[in-house]
Amino acid sequence: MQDERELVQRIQAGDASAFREFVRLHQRDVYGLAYDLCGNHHDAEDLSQEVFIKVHRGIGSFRSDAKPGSWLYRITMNTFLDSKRRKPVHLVSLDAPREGESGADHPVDMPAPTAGPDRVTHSAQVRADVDAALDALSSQERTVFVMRHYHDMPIRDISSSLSLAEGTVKSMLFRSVRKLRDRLSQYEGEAGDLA
Amino acid sequence: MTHESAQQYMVEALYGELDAAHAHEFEAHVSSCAECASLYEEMRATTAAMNDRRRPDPGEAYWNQYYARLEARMQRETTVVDNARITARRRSYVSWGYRVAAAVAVLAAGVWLGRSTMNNTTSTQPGTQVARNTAQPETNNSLSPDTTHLVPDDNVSARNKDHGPMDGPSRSTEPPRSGGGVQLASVDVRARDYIDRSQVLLLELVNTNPDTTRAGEGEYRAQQMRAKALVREASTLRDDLPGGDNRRLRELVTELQLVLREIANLESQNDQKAVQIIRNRVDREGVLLKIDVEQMRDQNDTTKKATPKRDGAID
Repeated sequence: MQDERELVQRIQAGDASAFREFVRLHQRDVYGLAYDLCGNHHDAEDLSQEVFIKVHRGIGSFRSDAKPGSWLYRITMNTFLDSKRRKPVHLVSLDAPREGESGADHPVDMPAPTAGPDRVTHSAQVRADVDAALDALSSQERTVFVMRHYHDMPIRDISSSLSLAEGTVKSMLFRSVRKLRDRLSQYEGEAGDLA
Repeated sequence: MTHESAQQYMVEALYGELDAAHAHEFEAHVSSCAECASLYEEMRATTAAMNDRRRPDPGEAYWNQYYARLEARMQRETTVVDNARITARRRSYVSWGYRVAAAVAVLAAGVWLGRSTMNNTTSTQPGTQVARNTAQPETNNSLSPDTTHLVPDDNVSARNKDHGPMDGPSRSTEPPRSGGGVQLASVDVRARDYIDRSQVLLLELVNTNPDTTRAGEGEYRAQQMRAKALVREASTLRDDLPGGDNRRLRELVTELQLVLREIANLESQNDQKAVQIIRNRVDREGVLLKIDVEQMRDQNDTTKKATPKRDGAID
């Protein structure tokens, strides 16, 4: 932690090699969150790069008592939501094969943080269904769900990071889980993985 | 615990965020309520199923080149930003040129109008005559005997015949009214009105000091109701605002809707933390400043629309 703060101070002092080091330290986490939010490699790369560019431009405003990791998460979430407000909704057929399914571009599967080893054996069909269910959420619902479920961020922290009331975050989370349940229930008999 | 509050606590229970007292209360309710128990079990199964999701790793080669790609993009964007700044600066000069020209035109029109009005009140122009207010002196005691009014020749007899002596200055020497030119389209008027009402509500929120102000529960509820009404109104209003020129206005309405939804969703008057979050958001995103800018633009637009009419009068 102390090292990270020193790293930030070096970046603030204009040390280019410190920024490179900072990026290497956080690139996987930021890309991982970006992938969870965007759902595909191309947008995740674009978003994660945008986050680091914002960090580079705004490093002067970083408070020394804050955690760089939390700061990066906050920037990633808000950059994602801003981009969704600007861009028109991109519709993708649910029947179309999802990126990464073939394994040609990205051959290695990285389990989500909370997944246990027994889950790794589940079929690609179930994974595709789960991804499709996640895609059906609105940008805000997806952000709230991803942060709470895959990144273990407490509701209170999500609330302050997104400048939303805690009640709003709770109701979004509740709505998200209900929506996911509705989407996944149609495959319940077929896959038998939901019980 | 009621049925509704149990559902409210469900996500916190799901992720282990309930404190001991609430967790106990929740468990007691779920064990006695079949509907809540079923819903809770469904939600738990769903979140367990979501753990099946995989995030593909792009591989070591990708990570090794990550910084190089980022650096290349930063350089590209720096060039683009520099070019954009140069273009913006040029546009700014041109824009200021137009503004100065418009200001001079408005000033000239104002001076001309002022002079012509002054001349009309101090001297008689050809084609007009002085009508003295001499009739019914007992009913017009408040008027000075020297009060004079300018009226066109051909109107004097008609006015005296129909309405008696004039009891106020004639407007016949004013420039013609701009009529429909100044009138805004109804959706514009609704949008301005919406923005004004939202501004009042946000100012109430921003200017309330929790230490010194004790807003009554009724007042607080009324604010929430107003916020809810505005949130609903925003959806219709946005649909009615066509694209193109109204893009900026529509964006502001959208932004206001998001903030107002936060106010409408406040759980309790005493939730000062949530109120502070909303205040911070209003402050950080400069919502009130954007409203001010929009209102200034509106005033400028109205002035611009009114100015050509005066120019027409000059010609």
